[in-house]
Amino acid sequence: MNRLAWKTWMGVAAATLALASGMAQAQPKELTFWTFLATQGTDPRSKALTSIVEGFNKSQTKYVVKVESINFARIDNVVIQSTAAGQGPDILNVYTDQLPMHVAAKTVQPLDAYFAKLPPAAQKDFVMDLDFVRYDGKLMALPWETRVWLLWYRKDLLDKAGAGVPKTTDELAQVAAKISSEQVMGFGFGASTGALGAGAMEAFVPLFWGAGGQLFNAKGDTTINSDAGVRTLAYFRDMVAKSKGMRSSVAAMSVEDAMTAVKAGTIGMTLMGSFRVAAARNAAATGANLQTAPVPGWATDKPSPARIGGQTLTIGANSKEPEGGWAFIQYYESPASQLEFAKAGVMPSRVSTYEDKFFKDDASAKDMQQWTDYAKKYGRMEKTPKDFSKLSEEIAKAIQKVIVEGADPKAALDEAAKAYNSQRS
Amino acid sequence: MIALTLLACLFAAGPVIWGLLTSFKTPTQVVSYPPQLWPSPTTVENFAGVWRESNFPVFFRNSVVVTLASVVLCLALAVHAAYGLARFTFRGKTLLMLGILATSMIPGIAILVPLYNLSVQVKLYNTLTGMVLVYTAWNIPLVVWLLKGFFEKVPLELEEAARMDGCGRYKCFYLIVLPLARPGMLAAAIMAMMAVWNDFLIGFTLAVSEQKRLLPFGLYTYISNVGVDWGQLMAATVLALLPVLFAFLIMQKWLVQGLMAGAVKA
Repeated sequence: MNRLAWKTWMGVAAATLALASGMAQAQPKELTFWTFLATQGTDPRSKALTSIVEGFNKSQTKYVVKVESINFARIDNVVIQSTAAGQGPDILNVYTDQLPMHVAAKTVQPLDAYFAKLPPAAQKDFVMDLDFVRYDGKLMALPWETRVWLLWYRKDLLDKAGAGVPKTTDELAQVAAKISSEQVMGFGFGASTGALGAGAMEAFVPLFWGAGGQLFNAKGDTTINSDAGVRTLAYFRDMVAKSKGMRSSVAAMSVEDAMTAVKAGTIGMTLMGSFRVAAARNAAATGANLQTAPVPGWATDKPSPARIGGQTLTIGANSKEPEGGWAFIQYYESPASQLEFAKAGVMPSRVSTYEDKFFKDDASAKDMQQWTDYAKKYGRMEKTPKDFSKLSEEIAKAIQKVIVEGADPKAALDEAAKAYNSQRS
Repeated sequence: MIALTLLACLFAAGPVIWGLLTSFKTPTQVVSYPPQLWPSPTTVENFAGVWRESNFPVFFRNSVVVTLASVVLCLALAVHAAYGLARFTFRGKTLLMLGILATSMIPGIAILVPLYNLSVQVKLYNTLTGMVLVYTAWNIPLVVWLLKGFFEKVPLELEEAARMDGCGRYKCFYLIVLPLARPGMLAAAIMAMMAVWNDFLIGFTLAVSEQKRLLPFGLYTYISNVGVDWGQLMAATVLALLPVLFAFLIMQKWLVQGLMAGAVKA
């Protein structure tokens, strides 16, 4: 081979290498996003999620986000286990109640450095007080969804019984008894320890707060065994034993079972989160029969406080592409994406989204406006500890003991508080 | 006695029949109260939804691949071990056999964390290969013990005659003994297949990606925080049952033989 041919071959090889390396550079970096939302199924949020992720992937060429959907009751454990093994995601969805657990397990990165680059107006554009997602002064996540706990009722059942929407706990017990029949349980909720005791917590907390209770004292010990707790549990007990508006079978129901029963019209009223309304209304037998109202209060002058929480996005501790993760979070929480989620029944986390004409013109947005008003006027947030799900389970067990075994509410709550507080120390 | 047998059958098959009927119900019928036993009208929408709108085909394919690969690998390794244990006498043989048996007595959940860490370290986490290897190792003790009984039932005289005719040890094993032990191999295969196909724990621990999930883990996706899609869940369960049901129906004769092997040995 002469020198010219040799040089030609070398040139071709160098050009090929350069081209290959250029192509490699042009390949977008894959970011993994773990969420509890399914990418399939009938939940309107799933379709919004898919559309938003596709939108992000098309909007730029540097990153491509791949969604992994993990069951809502397992995702936190899977994230903690995977992150410990260096296999955690780039971006993860965390529910506000579970965020302290992730902070303690070091599965998430602070977002302050990125957040500081946002314009001041954008920094203030969140419905939720961001102190709620700050730990040790560091911003650990950004909310993309706001949720509030409400009274769900089946309008068809209330209309049939000629009952109005209950505004007080006394009225709730009366209406529950009135609409109860062999087929229908007037009021019910998931009081089992399934799904981390979520159903019990969702029903207990607003009424407990309404009765003047506070979940934790300054030391972080739970105070659920206060007078407010006893009053709430005695109320559940009386609903089963005296007014007969609820059955003790709720002890075996999870929050999903309760939702299924409301959809079927076999539970007339329940206390459940706003985030499930759209999915429940999707069921053929539900539709507009499912309506919501503020959680009844103990007195006539005001409802019980609206418990507020929400889903957040954050960057995983194992992420090697935090800039990409932040780019995705910004896109996910952009006004356009928030509007897309709002149309799927999700209460937006950005104040500016509510100014869109969708909230003025669309009938489906009226509920969200009502929820927002309730949240603004009576909303309450209480920072939860890292072992909050343990407390949820203890509350579920206390409710079960009272309504199934006829235990004394004070004794059951004392036992629950002792079980929770002793494992903390 | 017949009445008791029927009662036992109904007790065992009741939930399966209920699930099968639920898979043909509309969402309204699924949640109706009082419960409706027979679907009326019947619908195949749940099956269509499972196949077209979910990742079920991916889960199904993964389960087929992992089950077939682990059963084949398990048999390939276990036949040699079982033959050795059946035919040869060596020091520590009883201890070795007990050791193999002891490994199968460790509850799966007890080794999940080490398995997870190991799979991450050797880069087999979230891969079908990793699951194939674990399932293979998991099934080998059972299969070895099962096949050992079969090999012991193959007359030694046949092997001796073959060897006198010039057949080597390996040739004798592959051409004479293995074909005679085919019923045992089929029985072992179906037992290993059922164990892999129905397992949730290992598949759940060793895979996180939706593209790598096996069927039992995949079924879990029909349970979400907005409720359980019972119609689709039951349709997916029915579809997941079919392969193992067919395999069982075709090979049940050998399965019974396999379970009986050694039981009537003198």
